[in-house]
Amino acid sequence: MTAPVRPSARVQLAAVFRKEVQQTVRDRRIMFMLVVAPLIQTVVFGFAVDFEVDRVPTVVVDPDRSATSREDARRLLADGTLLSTGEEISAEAASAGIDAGRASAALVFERRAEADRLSGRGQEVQVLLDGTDPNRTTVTSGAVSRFFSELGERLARERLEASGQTPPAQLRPIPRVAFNPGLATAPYMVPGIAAMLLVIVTTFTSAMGLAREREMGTLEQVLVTPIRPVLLLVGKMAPFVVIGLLVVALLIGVGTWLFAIPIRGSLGLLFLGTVLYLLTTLGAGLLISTVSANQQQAFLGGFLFTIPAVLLSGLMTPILAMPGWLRPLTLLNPIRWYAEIMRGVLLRGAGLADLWLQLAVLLVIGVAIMAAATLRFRRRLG
Amino acid sequence: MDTVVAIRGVTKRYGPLVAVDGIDLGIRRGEIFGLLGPNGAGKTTLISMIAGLLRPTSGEISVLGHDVVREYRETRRAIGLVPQEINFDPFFNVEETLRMQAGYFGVRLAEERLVEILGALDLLSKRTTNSRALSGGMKRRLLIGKALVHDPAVLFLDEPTAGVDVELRRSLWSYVRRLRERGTTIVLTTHYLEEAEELADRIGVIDRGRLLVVEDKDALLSRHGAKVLRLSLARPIASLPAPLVAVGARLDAGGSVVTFEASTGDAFGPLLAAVADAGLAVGDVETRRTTLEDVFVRLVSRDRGEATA
Repeated sequence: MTAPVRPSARVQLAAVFRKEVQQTVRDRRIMFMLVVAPLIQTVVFGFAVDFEVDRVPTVVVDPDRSATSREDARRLLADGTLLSTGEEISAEAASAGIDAGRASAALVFERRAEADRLSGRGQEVQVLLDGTDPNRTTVTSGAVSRFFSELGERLARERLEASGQTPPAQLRPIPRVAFNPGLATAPYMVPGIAAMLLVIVTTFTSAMGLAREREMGTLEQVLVTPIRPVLLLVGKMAPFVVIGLLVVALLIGVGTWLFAIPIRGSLGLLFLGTVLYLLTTLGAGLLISTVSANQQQAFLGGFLFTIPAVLLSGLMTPILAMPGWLRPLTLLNPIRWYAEIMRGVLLRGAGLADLWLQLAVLLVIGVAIMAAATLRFRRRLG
Repeated sequence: MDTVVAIRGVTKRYGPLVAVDGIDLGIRRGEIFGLLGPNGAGKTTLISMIAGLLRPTSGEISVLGHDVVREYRETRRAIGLVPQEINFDPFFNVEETLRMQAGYFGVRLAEERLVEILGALDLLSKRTTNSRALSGGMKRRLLIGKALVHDPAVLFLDEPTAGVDVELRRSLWSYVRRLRERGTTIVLTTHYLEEAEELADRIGVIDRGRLLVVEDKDALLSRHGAKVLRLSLARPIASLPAPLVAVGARLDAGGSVVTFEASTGDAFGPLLAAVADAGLAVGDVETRRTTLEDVFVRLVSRDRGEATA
């Protein structure tokens, strides 16, 4: 019998890393879940999630049938926000159409629309709106109001000029939209979707991986070895950091190709942010696994973490729109910070000077979660 | 003889349940120590504490002079544990399983050492077979291989032959003896008493978390053991003649069998003389030596009797 050789931390780390890589690569279902599923979901969500409001189905009620009312309806429908789905004979019929879901908006002209306008008495146009989707309603209402106020202003100027008077100076705001001049949804949403998919996939993988080993009893055979818990956890997480970086690279590639997402900043900075983000998501998974006795519990724990984290991240709804007491909670949410890094780097070309806070917060959250997971993992041994 | 594993006043509680209750025990270098006990006696809990899988509620355990909690890295290097349950990670073959385990111990498994382990466990031909595709016996041997990759000073075998066929059991026993000859200290937990009787140099009997006895196997057998002589009578008798009662015989099986128990070293002469004097016709004679099982049953039932008294 030979004397025991002093264990080499490098050999131990390499053994854990190699094992995790081999078992992940050999498990086709896990590879699918880790790489292919996020790609498919990003593409599908990228096309599906669109906050642009256009082609709102609209019916027109025009009992006047004058050149003026027809021209107003034609020009209002021309910008594409509203889409004519037909005509109705009365406001009641149009309202019934909205109730039945055949239209979301109705433009109701008066019987004497043209005569009222020409006589200078003033003209009213009723707009009926389906308020089920507040965002769509606001945009539709805004488009109609803007059209008629511009029309009213033009008519007033023409009248003044016709009477020889000088119309007052015009006040016209000129918006210049930076970074996303076309106001396309995809460049904003796809980085957010990537952040969301990454948290779901990595949290579940790490939570269930360790729970599975505990359930199968193979973890016990590792715990009788002299490997330090922190080394074991680092070795187990490292392959998923590599896979996570690959997935992010793939998602950015697909996003650039399919959704014209710009890459204005440094990819190195984005990858640094990704590593810090993965530290938090994998750490959360580990923490969940330390409080779970089996895979089922780990799975439920994964849901308990990821769903609130996604909802409170600002990806779906603006953080400023949340109640005041809920907003501080988002400060602890890694998705919030990573989405800011992603959008900052890709869309705005933000650099380290702009994103140091987000990176620092992710680092602090990541280290705290990993430390808590390691401590709990060690305590489980007692 | 120096002590490799020292257990001092070790207790493990789970709430109100006391799984291990104030155990003191020293395992000597180079011996095969048999830890016997019924299911749930605390054997696996005790071994798990030595291996570092559980922490004692109180007391201290040291391996080669190192504390198993504070200096776990030193003690785990010295220990190989063959667990009771057979579990393997999927997706790995026999060679990968052993190399991975060596890696966890921080050592690279040299080719000659790998071949030596596989050869000794008769697994050379299965080197590239997925561990989950092995037969039950082969899996058990692979678990032993995993526990040996780092050449431990002490090998713990927790119920190593549970569910293993007789032939494999014999071959495992002979391998355990070979390991001992090479200087490995072996701690064996089993509830197969035949196994402990066959292999162990010393025996510890544990029941309900308490160590009832620790003794050399032979001393234990001779102290608690006896020779039993059973005489089947050609014709049954109603009562035992007084001279036979005087030497300690008793009448069994409805008057057709005379049973006599003698301590190891005692002679049967006085009994046989008394039988001849009484004129009893003996049809058959049977002698039996007390087994470890008899001793074990006696110790455990005495302990339980005292506890309920």
